[in-house]
Amino acid sequence: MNPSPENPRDPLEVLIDRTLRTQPLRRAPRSLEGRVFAELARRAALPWWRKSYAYWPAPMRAAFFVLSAVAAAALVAGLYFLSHGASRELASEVAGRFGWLSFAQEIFSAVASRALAVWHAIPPLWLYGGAAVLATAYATLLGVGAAAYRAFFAPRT
Amino acid sequence: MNDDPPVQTSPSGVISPTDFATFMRNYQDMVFSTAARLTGNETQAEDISQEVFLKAHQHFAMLVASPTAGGWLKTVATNLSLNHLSRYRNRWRFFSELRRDDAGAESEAPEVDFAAPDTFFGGVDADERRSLVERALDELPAHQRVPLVLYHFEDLPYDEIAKKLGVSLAKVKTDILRARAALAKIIQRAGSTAHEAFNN
Repeated sequence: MNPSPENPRDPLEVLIDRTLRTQPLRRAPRSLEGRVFAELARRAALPWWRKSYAYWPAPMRAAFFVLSAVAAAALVAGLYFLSHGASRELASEVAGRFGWLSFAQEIFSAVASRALAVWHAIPPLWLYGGAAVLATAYATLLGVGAAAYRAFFAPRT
Repeated sequence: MNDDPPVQTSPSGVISPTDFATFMRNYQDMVFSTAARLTGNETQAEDISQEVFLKAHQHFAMLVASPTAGGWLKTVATNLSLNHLSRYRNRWRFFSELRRDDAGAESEAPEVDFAAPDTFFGGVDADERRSLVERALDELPAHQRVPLVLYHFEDLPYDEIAKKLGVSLAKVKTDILRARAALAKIIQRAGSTAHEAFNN
């Protein structure tokens, strides 16, 4: 606990200290108790899977733990087999099933090359001008926001 | 002053509340006061108080029999209020406090030229006095009110306040010194107005 007041020769500190320490507690709003119990009831009514892990039923926690361990083991085993070339057939079959990915890549490349061509066709001066307009608009908005905050919301000192 | 938990007491000592509603009723004014004085805003204080009691409910088995439940609640209320204020401060720092923090961070505490009276309240009744002080606290800017409240209400020493707020010791001392002067002026101004109204 602070030795109060810290500087007993300072009359202002003594006065403030005495004034604040004799201040009674503020009365909590009547709605507080109702709000707390309503929130507790809402949380209690949530199904277990929407609560945090600590509140899950014990069997569910155990099952989740086992499933996670199995998934991790399967992942490690799969990586091991792939890295040792033991399943080239499996890899080619998987690649065949995902053939649509190469098609999507071709479309994306075509769109990107067209966009790049358009970008290079724009004169650099226009680009610099556009960037300057954007920067000016951003700075103006920031300035107006700061002025508005200081005028209407800033706490008085 | 306020760290004494307002629990029911008997000659044999502290009686623990038997259920959560009783527990809440015993401590809600203390929790709300802590949050309201730190945030300077009753709506935010009610939200924070709700959060404090929801946490308390999770640890109720431990708290119900603990003689330090009041201290636990007060610490949680203080930390949640400071977290709330730091989120708010970060959001508005660019606009409002950057310059103040830089100006006050390393400077020595200035001399405050203020002639303190013996008392702020002449002829003002107790209810009005309590209300005047609370309103005056709410009027202080957060960077002055928070260290002042932590020092005078929560009994934290300067270095611990500096650590909690993440600012230098010099800034804490400066802010508390300025806060006292500002608070005294606000109370004195409001008190004299109330006194005139009381006499008329």
